[in-house]
Amino acid sequence: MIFENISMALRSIAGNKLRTFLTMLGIIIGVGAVVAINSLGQGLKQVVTQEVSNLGADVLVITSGKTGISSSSSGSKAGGGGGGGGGGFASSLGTSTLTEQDITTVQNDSHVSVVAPLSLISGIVERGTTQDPSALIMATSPDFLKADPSEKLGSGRFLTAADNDSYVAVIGSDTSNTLFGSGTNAIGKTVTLRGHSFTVVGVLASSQASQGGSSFGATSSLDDIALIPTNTAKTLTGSTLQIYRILAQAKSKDDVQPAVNDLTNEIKANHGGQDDFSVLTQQDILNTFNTIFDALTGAISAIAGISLLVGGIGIMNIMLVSVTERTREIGLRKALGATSGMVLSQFLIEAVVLTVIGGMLGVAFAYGLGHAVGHFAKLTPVFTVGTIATATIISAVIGIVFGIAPAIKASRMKPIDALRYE
Amino acid sequence: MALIELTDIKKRYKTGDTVTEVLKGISLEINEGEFIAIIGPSGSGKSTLMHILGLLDVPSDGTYLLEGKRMDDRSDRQLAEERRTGIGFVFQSFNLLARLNVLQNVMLPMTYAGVPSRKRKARALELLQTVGIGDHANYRPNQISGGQSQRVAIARALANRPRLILADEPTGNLDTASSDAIVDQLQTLHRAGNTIVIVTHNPEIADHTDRIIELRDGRIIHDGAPKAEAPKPATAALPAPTKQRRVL
Repeated sequence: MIFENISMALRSIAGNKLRTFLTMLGIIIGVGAVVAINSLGQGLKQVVTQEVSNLGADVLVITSGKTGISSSSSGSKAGGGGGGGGGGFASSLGTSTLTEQDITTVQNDSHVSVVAPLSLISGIVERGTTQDPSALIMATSPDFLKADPSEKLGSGRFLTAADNDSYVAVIGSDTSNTLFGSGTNAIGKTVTLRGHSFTVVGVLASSQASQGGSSFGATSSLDDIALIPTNTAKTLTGSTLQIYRILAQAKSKDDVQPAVNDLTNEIKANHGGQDDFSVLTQQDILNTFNTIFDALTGAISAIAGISLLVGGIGIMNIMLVSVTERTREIGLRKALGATSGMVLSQFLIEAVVLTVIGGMLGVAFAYGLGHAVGHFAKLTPVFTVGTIATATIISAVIGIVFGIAPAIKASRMKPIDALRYE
Repeated sequence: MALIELTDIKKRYKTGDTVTEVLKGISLEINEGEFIAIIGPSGSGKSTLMHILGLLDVPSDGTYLLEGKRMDDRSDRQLAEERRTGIGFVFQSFNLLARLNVLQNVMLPMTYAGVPSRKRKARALELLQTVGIGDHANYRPNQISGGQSQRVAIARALANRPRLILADEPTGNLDTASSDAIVDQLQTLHRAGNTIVIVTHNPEIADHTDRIIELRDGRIIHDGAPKAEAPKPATAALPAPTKQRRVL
């Protein structure tokens, strides 16, 4: 019986293609929008997760200001702050709250193996008249590459302890391309920072788009940067450095949480009890991203879901029209011995077939839309079997919810009244 | 025992404050194997009587026995089940479903009766052969003539081997040649043992039957053999009804 009903519904759909398509459009757009948003959201989440994972599970990032995403143990309540943006809004405006003493504290912690501070130096990287105005200048220690495993050296060497007061620099791959042209080996050449000539000793490897994660957060990479020794930077600026953040590598995964707890307490003591910094782990950053993305995807999906409601009302409308148009058919079926229940299930199944086909077309639409948007946004949308199954189930539920009233109307018709209907 | 026994059947309709009594006490018996015409002018109540006989409607008063079982107090669902296997309908306007082909239309009552798909198809083909349009099984209703459509409808009416075939003005939409063919067809079915009731206002059609029930203003005013009929042994024309009926 169900098989007959489905084939009957398909025949009725095939007999009225344009009308059926227009009716389904609401469902197609609704399901399409929700599925596309979710798949793109999943895609974005995957990229972010990948990038943050590149940091390594045992990396700690200590930033100035309260980010609200710091480790649970610090009991944060202030909001704001992106994953790598560093600092609550207010504290990010002022000077960094991190001090040289904090670096020492981190270095002395028993759970930490490698420490590398990063300090931001103002200035422009130049080579003769060529400028790279977007390049950041950072001072760091020779341990930087160990503290941030996501960064790799492309050519030359990194800063060493022997470079302490030398005017040498390691530059990012983009900076090298901008100043020296792509394909040119920059090693041994000089760049000018704040009027001083620096010899380029190394170039960082270009981070691939998909794994460009770094201690700077998920989206920025060290492709456009000049790294110089800390002491040289001090001489250059003639003042204490603005410590942008401190990277630390825990001795092992098990040392991560103790290190977070220790450092939180110790740095707080350094700061006279002020909770004006954050100790972040990869997991903290991931959790925050996931929370934000889930909320965002959910909210946008809910808005897109409204079109499903509209689509459902469209289905109900067309089914009511269909029931009226087919009054004689209903009468005949009843005369031939169909019970009210059989008529009800026929029209209900027809509505469900309509919405499920609409839902499948919606998934196909979402697939196209997702890949089109993904192409421009440089994302790969993620379509799982679960997504498709959920879309189908939701479509079927819409068919039942909005098809039940027309089906009841059909089932309640009296056979003689229905047969007499013209 | 009579196949159908109606006792003092009344049917009233309410329109606003006015109550119209369409049937004012109909009592009749229909025996198995009979070929009956119900005639009368429009408004005489013959359609209402047919609806009640066909279990499409319930009487306001009176009792209806089908094979000895009360039918006037059944629920909608029970009536549907009785119609499914008990009654075969033939309508004036054929009422074939346009989206189904001829074969599928004939299979429809068997679908509701839960007959397995293969059996359904075999029987539908056989029935189409019987009514002489076996070669049109895959046609759509809009591809065949009115006479052919009515044959399909007759085949559909026979599908579940009903105890009673009810034909409501079966020739009303047909030309004379097709009409005669349909009447012939119904006579053939009758000779094969089927119980047939035709509702018509056409005396010529009625004259082909064995018994005419004439209604006027909701009452039976005549019940008997056709008047103009040449002397014909009414009972002898029925060759052993019960057994042969199953042939179709």
